[in-house]
Amino acid sequence: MQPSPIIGQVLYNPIVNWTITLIMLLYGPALVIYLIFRLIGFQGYMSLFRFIEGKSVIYRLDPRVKILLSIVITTVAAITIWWISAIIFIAVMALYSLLSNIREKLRIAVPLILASFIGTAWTESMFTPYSYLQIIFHHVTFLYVLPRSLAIFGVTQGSGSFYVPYLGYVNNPVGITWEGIIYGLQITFRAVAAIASGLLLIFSTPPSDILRSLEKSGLPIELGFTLLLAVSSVPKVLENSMVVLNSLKARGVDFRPRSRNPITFIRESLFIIRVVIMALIGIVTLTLRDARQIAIAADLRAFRAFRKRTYYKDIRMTRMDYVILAFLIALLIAGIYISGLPGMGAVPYNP
Amino acid sequence: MAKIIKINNLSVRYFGSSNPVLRNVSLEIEEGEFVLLVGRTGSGKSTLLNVINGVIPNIISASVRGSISVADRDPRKTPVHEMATIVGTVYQVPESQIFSLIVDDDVAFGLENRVMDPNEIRRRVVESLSLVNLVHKMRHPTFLLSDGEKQRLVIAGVLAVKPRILVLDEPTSMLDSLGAESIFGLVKKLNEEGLTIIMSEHRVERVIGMVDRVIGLKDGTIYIDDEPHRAVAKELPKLGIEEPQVTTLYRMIDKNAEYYPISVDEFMELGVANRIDVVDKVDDDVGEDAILVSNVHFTYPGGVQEVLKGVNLAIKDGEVVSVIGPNGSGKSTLMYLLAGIYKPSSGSIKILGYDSTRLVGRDRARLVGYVFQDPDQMLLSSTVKGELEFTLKLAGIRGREAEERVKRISGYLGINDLLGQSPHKLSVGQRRLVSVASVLVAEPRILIFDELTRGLDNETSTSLMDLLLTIKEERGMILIMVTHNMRQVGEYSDRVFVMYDGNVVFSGTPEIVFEESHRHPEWGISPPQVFEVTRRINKPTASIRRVRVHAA
Repeated sequence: MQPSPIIGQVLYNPIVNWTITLIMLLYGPALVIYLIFRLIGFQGYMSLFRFIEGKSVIYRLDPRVKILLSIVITTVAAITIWWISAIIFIAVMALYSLLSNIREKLRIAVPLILASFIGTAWTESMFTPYSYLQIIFHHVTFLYVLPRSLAIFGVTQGSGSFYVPYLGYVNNPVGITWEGIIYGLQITFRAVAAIASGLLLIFSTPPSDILRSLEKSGLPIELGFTLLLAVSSVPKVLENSMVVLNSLKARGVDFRPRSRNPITFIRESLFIIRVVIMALIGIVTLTLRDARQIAIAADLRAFRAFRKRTYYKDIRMTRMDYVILAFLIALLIAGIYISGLPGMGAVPYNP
Repeated sequence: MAKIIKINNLSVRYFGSSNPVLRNVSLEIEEGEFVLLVGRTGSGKSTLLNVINGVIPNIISASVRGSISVADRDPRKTPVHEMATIVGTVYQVPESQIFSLIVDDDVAFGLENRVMDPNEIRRRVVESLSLVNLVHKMRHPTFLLSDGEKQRLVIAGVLAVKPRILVLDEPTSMLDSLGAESIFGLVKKLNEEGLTIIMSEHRVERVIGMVDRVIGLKDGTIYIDDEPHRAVAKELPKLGIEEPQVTTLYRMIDKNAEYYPISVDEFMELGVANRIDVVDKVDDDVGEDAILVSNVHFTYPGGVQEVLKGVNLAIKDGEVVSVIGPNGSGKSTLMYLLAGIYKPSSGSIKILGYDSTRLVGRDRARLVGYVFQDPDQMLLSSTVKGELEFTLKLAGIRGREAEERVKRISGYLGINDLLGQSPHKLSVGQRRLVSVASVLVAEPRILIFDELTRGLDNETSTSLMDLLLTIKEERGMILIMVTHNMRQVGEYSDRVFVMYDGNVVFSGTPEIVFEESHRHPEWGISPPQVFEVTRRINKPTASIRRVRVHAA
């Protein structure tokens, strides 16, 4: 097929080429940020930590078993071929039906999963090294070529001469490949299986129980306490961030550059970056301000006064826990076995 | 009764400071007593409380001289966690005393640390939560509690180890009036059940009626130590502390009494109310409607719950208005909308003729100034001057004009000497002044302030309010204050808007609103004493400055 000169000229006009490049480079992160902030928002984040009790089996499992569940699922998804990861992902999502207040949970889980799906697909499809794609697919097709300078950011660069639609043969092209996109989508299932199982743990277990069970299994109490403080301070940090940003808006900061003049636009953007850094410092100051008070309050409540602690709640393995544990071990062994079979391992794909 | 606390000749000096914070303090407290500790910021109240619970010198280093015995132990030589089983401590900020995400887990935290038997922990968790009336929220996330509930949770955690003494260091300074009331009621109940209470508190008028004894500190020494009616004879305002308004009224009648009333009923029983006159309010020239809010609805981005449900209000040019109501009623949100930080979901807001949604940054800064609740939420520059210049830059004011404004505003607020300093190293009161200056420097036409005087002592807050009123008179501004301090509402506002459940449910002069509040306990408004007294003699006024006394 002869390249169509007009389409080629339009597509590879420097301005069009750079515009497409910028969109390609930015849509991934931008979409991720958009999904997280717009769809979930401040309220959604708060509800991530709002544990709601339930009665189904998933709530009754020992937290340690649920932690193990996420670890095994992440591992098996990581070592086996992509469609096994996809099946595991779907199986985990099926477990969500055991959660109470499922709609609110999905309102948070879906955007987060979608965000990691897009984020991973984007990085993998644009930034997977050529040599990697070559080993996996034996053949690499370039769909669209981006400015060469982007190679320094790690965008896939072929070595040799490649045929590119509407452009013809190009030496060492830098750009989007068909195989990269396929590979990106496949690898994405691994990421989302891991995220979905992690969220399942958070949704079905109060954070303090997760920590209690980790401490019982030998996690140093100091580390557990630090984690607990970190998790408990998230809502306060979010609230502080909102107030600080609002106080800046009230003083006249517009967090969106308005000028049409490119130089003023850049100047405004730089100013906004400066203000955001100022705001971050303010948020950190606000958060750390009470650190000493927290330390005093912890000492008054006998934190670390004794070598051991007792536990308010019984965390004990039940028969159900052992059944699930056995299943998880079997799943892990099966996963390792399958990954060793020809063509079933994760990487390289189809050796 | 046995003395549970015996302090003799106590002096405390922090390392690195040349002046002692407490000097030769001697006092004894009986088991079961309720002591109110008062004094201006920096007078040594917190230091005294932290010596009693052993935090000084065990955690905060300081040189402590003299003898201290708390339930026959020397707190200096007892580990703090052990002292905590005798002296329970509650500080100002609830969040920095809560360690768990779920209510019952937090009460259990201290007991788990003390290696208590799990069955006993479970029993005590329920017991302590019932004492503070939070059992029904046992499995609730801690961060979704109201501020008052959070502080009650802190108290439950402290009570779980069954202390004999409870010390509270300004426990309500972060709470709204409903939250504060719930804490005061709880503390009184615990005292009646036999717990010894030592509480430092700025809201003297509210609590003085329930205590047995008032101890007033001045520059690190005990200046007052007496039963409440005699304690107020020593003119608390001279210590920078609020005194009950009925005490002030009675002092206008009799300067040299030894015994003063502290409650409205006591004042009325003295039979002197007929000597009170009230002068009419001088109506300021108020202009046209300057702020018009029409049928405004608002839901936060990403939120599901409607926060404002069709708010209507009009504020005239030159007015001073207060917006009051319980936390969560939508006051701050309405202020955010007036300041143009958010846009209404529906309805319209007109600010001096401009549509609030069309205002860009620079116009917002010049039109509406907003002083946030906590100065640290606003102070982000490395110097005070930088903070003021930052606002000027945003308002598009440069060069000579900018320099002059910095000079003028810092002169007004008396912070010239602080211009080169870091705002974070200043005292609470100074930080407050800087946050006000950083807004005023843009010379806005409307000034909104949210709980401006929270956490400040009486002297500092009165002078700050008077100063703002003076600036307002000179420059012609609209002042909108969001506050829970009803004395301030009565003293300074022309009009009051009551917000409840996302709407303005009532408005009028402070007198009309206070009168109506008797029929609406859910508003959480307790009118100032001066109003309660003058309403009983049919000359209702909310401002003590309008009261005159004539000869018998």
